[in-house]
Amino acid sequence: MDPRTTSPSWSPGKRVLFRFAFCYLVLYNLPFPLNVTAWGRDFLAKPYQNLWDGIVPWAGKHLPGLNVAVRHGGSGDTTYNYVQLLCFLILAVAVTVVWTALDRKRTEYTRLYEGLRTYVRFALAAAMLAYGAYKVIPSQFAKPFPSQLIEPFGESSPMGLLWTFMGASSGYTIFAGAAEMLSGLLLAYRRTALLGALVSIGVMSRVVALNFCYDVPVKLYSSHLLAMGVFLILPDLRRLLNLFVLNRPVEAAAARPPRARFRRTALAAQVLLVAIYSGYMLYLSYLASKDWGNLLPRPPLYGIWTVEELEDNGVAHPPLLTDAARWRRVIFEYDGYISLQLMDGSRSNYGLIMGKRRFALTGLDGKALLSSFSYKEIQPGLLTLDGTLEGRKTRLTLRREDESSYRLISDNFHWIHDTSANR
Amino acid sequence: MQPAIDASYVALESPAPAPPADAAPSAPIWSPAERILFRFAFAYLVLYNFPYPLDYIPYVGEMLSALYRKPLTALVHWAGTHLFHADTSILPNGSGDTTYSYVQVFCLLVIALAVTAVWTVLDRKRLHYTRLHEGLRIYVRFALGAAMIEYGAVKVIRSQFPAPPLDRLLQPYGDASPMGLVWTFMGASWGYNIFTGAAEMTGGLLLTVRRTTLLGALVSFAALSDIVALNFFYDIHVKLFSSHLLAMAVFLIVPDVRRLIDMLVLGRRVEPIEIRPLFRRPWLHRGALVLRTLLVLAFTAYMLNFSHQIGQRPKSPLYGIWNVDEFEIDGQIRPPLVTDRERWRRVIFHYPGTMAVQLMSDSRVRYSLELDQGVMTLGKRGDTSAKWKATLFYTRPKPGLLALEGTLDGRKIRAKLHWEKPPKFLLTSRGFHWINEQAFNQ
Repeated sequence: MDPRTTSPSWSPGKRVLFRFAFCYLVLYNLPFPLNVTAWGRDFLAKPYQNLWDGIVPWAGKHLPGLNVAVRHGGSGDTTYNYVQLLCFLILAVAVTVVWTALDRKRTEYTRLYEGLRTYVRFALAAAMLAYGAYKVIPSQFAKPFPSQLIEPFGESSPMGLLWTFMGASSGYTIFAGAAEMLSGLLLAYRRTALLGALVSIGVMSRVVALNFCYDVPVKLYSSHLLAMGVFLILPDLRRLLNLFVLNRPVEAAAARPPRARFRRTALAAQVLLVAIYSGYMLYLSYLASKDWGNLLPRPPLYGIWTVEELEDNGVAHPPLLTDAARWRRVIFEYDGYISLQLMDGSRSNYGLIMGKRRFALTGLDGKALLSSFSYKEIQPGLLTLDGTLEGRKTRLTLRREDESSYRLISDNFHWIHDTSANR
Repeated sequence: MQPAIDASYVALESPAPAPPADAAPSAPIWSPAERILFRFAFAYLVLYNFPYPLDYIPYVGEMLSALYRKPLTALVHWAGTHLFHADTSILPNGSGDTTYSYVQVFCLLVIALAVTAVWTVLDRKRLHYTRLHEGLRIYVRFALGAAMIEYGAVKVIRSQFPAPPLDRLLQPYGDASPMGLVWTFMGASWGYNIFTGAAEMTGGLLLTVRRTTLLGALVSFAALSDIVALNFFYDIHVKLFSSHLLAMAVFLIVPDVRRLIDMLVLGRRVEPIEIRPLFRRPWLHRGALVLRTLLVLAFTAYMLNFSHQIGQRPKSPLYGIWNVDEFEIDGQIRPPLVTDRERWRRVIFHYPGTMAVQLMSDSRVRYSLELDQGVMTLGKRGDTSAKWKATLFYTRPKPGLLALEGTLDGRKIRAKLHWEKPPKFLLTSRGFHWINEQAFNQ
């Protein structure tokens, strides 16, 4: 059966829409799949990125009169991202116009549509698998660090609240990640692609809602992933409507061109590729969680220490709340850093050079030496510091706070609650 | 043209494409295991959901449901005492996972098993329960639909997760229970409440229409999976109820699993389901549909209004953050040492009926509160016996000043406080930004 003879001709409107969708979706998703491997990222995706890093600031200057800084990482909703999107739109419209003018004889794009669907399917699958992997091995959301435990709710941004909420439960993070990976795996096979697209719509609409409601700067990207899921179910819309709403007979899905010759080999290769990619993403997440997540090695003296006694040039300063500039807590959580909380609740971070018996506080760049202390753990959980602070002899006694005294950490799971668990 | 084939021949050779309405002989024969499973499912689901929908009838609902709940409560107490040697005196309150709730589930399971056994012995001739299954599906659809609409309504009109009150905004993360974290997270965004509430309401409303039941059950299944996961992973005390709702959604999906696979995975042709009219007489059937539509709309409106009513919480007459300047216990002045485990740091009033104390460690303690002419009566939150009481006298010597005096846990306390302007909290003032040049994750 030759699909070309059976494909009905498309209306002019549909053809124009398709051309635009084709241009925009390809522009948006490039350089996928070149960026999947490390080699591709360095030698193919990088030059492509550099090209845009040249175009976008130029376009920003000439189109809306903006000054666009090139920023990558952290936020996905920078001015750069919005201007780049505008460039994609203009380019896609321009190509659509030229294409429409030149290609007037063609009545349908059935084959090209099939190709575009395959491309979008894999781009979406790759994104869902990557996002899922970073949750299944929790690294995107880490367990709350000690400094987070002493921060009041009101002082975090909505995004900070969302991050702590997700990080507080590895179980829930894995649950969310498993749903994302499931949709990615289903999308990777043509048979299960419709189911995968529906699961991805379910999962991504929640992610988009979170990003908009908690001001997470991944609004553009997550909305595009959601739109790609919707794009993939479009051909089946009538069937879905018939099944779920109208209760009418659902026609069999359109016959697919058979790939009889290398079907088994192709399928085996596909399974292998998807497995390798998923494994690679899980491995990257494992590495990330060692870099900045749950598997980050704990530095010596890890934890929250309350400054119980402080002597300044021999004068004792009791831990009075009214003594605003007195140290209240000392926190060791990342290697090379120390965090100090004052009695007024404010907290600042410093660099830390840790020795066997002494440590030194430096500026965050690790250069300017601020002060140094000799330390001794006189008994487990009790630490004395001796040193000079702003030229004065200072002596402190610190007591380690038991992390399990925090309800967020210790109130993990109870089958039975005789009263409300909302504390 | 092919010759017309004898109709009986078709019936023998191929599975009947669409059985004519009301054709009892074409009903399939259920295997014995299917029949036993159905009897159990029927008994348990009815026992669990009853007295729904009687409890929603205005005026007499409470009385009618008491007729069922009273003997059940007695049975649960008996089983708790004699079988488990457990104290079941605390009835479901804010928590739905009390000891009582677990013993109740156990009792219902035992009764359902007993009913199944007797039913299986007595009803050996019947080959299927097609009609009864239809009836049970209607009951479960509406029980689940009502729960989804109710849960959705209290989110769409924000009352289940109110905006975080002042005492919560001042509480450190570590001092909150995991459930407290979820409540704060949900309360922080009305938009997200509307999103999740709308999903739940959509699921519920779709369940009330026969044709869209499968879609409604799938939407409910997705929404409830998230809720069950939250309840288990953040130790929220609605584990039993939410799991039951999820199981009810599964119960409604199961008969259509084959069709779903045909449609979504195998790409096969799928036949519509047969919808038998509720009554033989068309006018009765139509009347039932009209009545259902009216009841569903009235119920939805009632729930939205209910949520609006309980969401309208006025502010406490003493609203605000009060800093404790002086604190005396048993005549001894306690300086504001952060190591003092008893001294108060702040007293926070947000909603009437509650008072929160922030201790020097920044940990939050909440009390129930009655204010009356200079007298505060405090109760302990979570004190189910309601025996703990404390009485404090309060005066306001000047605007912005508050003095407290009284006995708490057998100790005389005296405190002087001053009103502090609530700070501009980042969480409530950050707002929405289309453009973020950097991630604002603080």
